[in-house]
Amino acid sequence: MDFVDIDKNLTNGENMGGIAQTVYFGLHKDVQTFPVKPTEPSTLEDLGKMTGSMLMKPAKRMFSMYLTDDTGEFEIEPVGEKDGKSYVLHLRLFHPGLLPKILGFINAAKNENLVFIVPDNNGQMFVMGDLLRPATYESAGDGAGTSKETAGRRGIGMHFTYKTSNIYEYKGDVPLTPAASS
Amino acid sequence: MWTKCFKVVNIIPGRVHTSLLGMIDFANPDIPVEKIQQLYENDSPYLEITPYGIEKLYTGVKAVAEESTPVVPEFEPETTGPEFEPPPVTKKPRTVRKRYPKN
Repeated sequence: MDFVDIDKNLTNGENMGGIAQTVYFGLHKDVQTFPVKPTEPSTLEDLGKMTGSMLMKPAKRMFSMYLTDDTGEFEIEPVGEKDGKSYVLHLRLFHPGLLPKILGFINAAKNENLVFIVPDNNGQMFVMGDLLRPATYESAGDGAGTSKETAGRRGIGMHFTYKTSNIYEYKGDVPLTPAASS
Repeated sequence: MWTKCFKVVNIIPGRVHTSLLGMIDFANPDIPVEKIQQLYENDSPYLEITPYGIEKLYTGVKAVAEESTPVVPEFEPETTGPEFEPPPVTKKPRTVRKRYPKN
């Protein structure tokens, strides 16, 4: 694979910050097939995207979660020593309210192996979780609880991380309905 | 109705967030067939084309492909005798014209 010139290349001038108000999550053990990382890419673009879709095991599916606008962030952090660089991907978000459903989710998710698909505000999607490594709960992010002031933000903040050797765009689909038995 | 042209596979028909067209509900039979065809052509793992769909949506493509492929008739030798050997190519001897001096 050869390097090529890299120009500005913004599709229709779009480059909005932040992520959408929905992220998709599931259990790592419920995934049947993960999207495939590039093996012999012929172009830089091929090296930056995965092929295929995330397929779930029979009767399993992915789920959506609402987040408060402007509280979600997908961050790419390079880590490691020279000649051993890799990435930690961070997903931070805030879900409003302290109702039993979100409390139950955080109770269940805090020690689970998870996968996330994160859509951004430009229609691109990013996966957290692969065959070898899941996404895991890290902390409460920007905080969880009632807040101090009456004008404060009441709800559950969440911060998930996923460690990966490379970063890719996800070009597949997100199944929000159960997989059929084969 | 797109469900005559395509079949949902691998999932129970329902909501899928597609990277190409955003949220699609495969339980909805009223989605324009062109949209579903786009997803199918984008290698959606959840769609399979039906024989009716092939006929209706790709008949034109099939016909063009058939027209552009030349039909080569099978070669059948008339005799089964020994192989024909072409005569050896012999080089024509060069004729040398005698030159006479001009007067």
